[in-house]
Amino acid sequence: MSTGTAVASTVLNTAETQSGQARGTWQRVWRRLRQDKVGLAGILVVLVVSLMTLLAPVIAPGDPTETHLELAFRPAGSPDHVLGTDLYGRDILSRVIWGARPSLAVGFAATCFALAIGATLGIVIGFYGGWFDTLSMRIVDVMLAFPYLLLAIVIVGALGPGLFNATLAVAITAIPFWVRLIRGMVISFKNEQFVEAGRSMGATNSHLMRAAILPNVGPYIIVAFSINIGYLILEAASLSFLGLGAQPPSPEWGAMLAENRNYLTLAPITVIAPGAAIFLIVLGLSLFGDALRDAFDVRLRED
Amino acid sequence: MNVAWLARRLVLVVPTLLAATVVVFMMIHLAPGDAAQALLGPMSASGALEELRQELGLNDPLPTQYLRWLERAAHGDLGRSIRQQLPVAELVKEKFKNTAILGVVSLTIAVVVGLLMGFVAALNRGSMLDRLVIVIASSGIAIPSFFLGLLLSYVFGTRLGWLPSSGMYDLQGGGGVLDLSRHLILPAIALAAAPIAVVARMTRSSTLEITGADFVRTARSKGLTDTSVTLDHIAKNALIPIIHLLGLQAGILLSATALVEVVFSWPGIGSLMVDSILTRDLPVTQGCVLVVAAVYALVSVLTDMIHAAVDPRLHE
Repeated sequence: MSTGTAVASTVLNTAETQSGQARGTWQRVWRRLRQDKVGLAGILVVLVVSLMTLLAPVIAPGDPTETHLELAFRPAGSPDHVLGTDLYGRDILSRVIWGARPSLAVGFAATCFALAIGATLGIVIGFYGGWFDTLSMRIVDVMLAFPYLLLAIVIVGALGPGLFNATLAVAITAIPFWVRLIRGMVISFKNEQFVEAGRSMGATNSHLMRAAILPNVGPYIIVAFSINIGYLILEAASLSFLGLGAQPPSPEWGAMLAENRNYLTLAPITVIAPGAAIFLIVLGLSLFGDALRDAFDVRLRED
Repeated sequence: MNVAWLARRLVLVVPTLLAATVVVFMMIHLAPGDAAQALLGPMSASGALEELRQELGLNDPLPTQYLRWLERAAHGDLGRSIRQQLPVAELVKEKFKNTAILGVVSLTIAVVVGLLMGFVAALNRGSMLDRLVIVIASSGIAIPSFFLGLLLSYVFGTRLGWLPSSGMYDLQGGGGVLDLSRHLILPAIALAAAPIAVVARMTRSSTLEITGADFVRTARSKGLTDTSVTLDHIAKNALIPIIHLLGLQAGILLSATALVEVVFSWPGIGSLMVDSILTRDLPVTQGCVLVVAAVYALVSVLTDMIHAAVDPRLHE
């Protein structure tokens, strides 16, 4: 590291402590979160479902794919099957618990992927500007000219149905959101004094991006992530419901709904259980995201 | 309205539409194997494949192929369906009409109910009514439209038997506006739930913002009646951000309709698109995507124009 960069780094660190008050921010955020009852309910739901995902082998009463044709369509409340069974005699509770894994994994993986690509592009585009910015934003505009779900359907339509392709499709649809969000923030931070100070000390562009810009966009990224992941889980479940994502016998919730919808009259619980699971996790994440946004006191343009 | 601004906005649609056609065209080339294989299926004989390659001009360079395809599409020729030996344009046109009926009714419900809910909530901030609206709005965004559709069809179709839960018309003695309306109610509500929630949230927050604005205080201090302040000053200005939102919602609706159409066996473009993907009928998929993207682009321009007409600040 050259002397110039080292000095710049010190200046930047001081600037961060002064402008961000890093520890104070987190304390304030936690204090506000604790008072937000609705937000806490959201967090609780997210925690419970996350635990369900991790502990599925321990807490699920049975195997999610084991069939017992003689036990088909046991009603909810049966002694061995609290939520009943489906056409193949598979235990619905076990399927819903195990189904949390693919259902959440798709949303989580897609959001991470979209964030990684979107943040990298957004920071670089916002920082350098110029024709590269213009060109990239035109591409983003074109992608936004397709409604999310349509774009996802188009991509799966081209690549073929399946859980992996659906994840990829859902992730790609979220990239424009991230690029726009982060580019906008980078442009507004670029002209702040602490960045200028760093630059005048001879800090390189890549150092400025990592040390000055990235920490400042952090809170926005956390908030946007928690809101985005819920939408992507819903989008992925929608693809699976259409038969374009997870395929039977996967207990993915959207696929479960699709598999059981023809038996709605006969055994409504087989549809209600996975549907309610999607609803609860998306609602929980959305309340959690709203609470985080209020706690960090940030406003997202796409909100 | 500023004519130059309007012209610029209209011209911007062209690259968007062109890009959409590129995406749709490339779909067939992204598919595993080449387009002939995608069209005929993986089990087809090599002789038939080569024949189709010749016929489709697949041995030409891609740009040549694209321009040829674009020219045909511009003349309304979207190719032929592989599964049903029919022109794609004909299929799509018929189905799109049905989707348009469902979409327009849903959007109307969403606007009326969403505006009303958001407005009432904001004017009674902090009341039970306000909280109820917030709960409904949060749930409406989180509930999958296909799940809500299934619940509605189970409760009102199967259990109560009040409304039909499948198709557009009764098979026997059906037809007519009344029959259509009965079939429309459940899918339209299922499709409207999410936009109702979004519109209500937005209306509530924009109304709250405007209620605190200086010009509203001025209006009150001039001695205007509550009704006049509410309608002429608050409602009028709170509506402006909603117009932009509606353009976006229309786009979301155009694709979410696929989910609801599948649940209610509504013969629309969404279910046609999904069917075509599952049966690998690529020309039909391309036709559906192209039409939906084009309609969305036009709706966006339309809402921008309305927005500009209502809010002169936009193009200054």
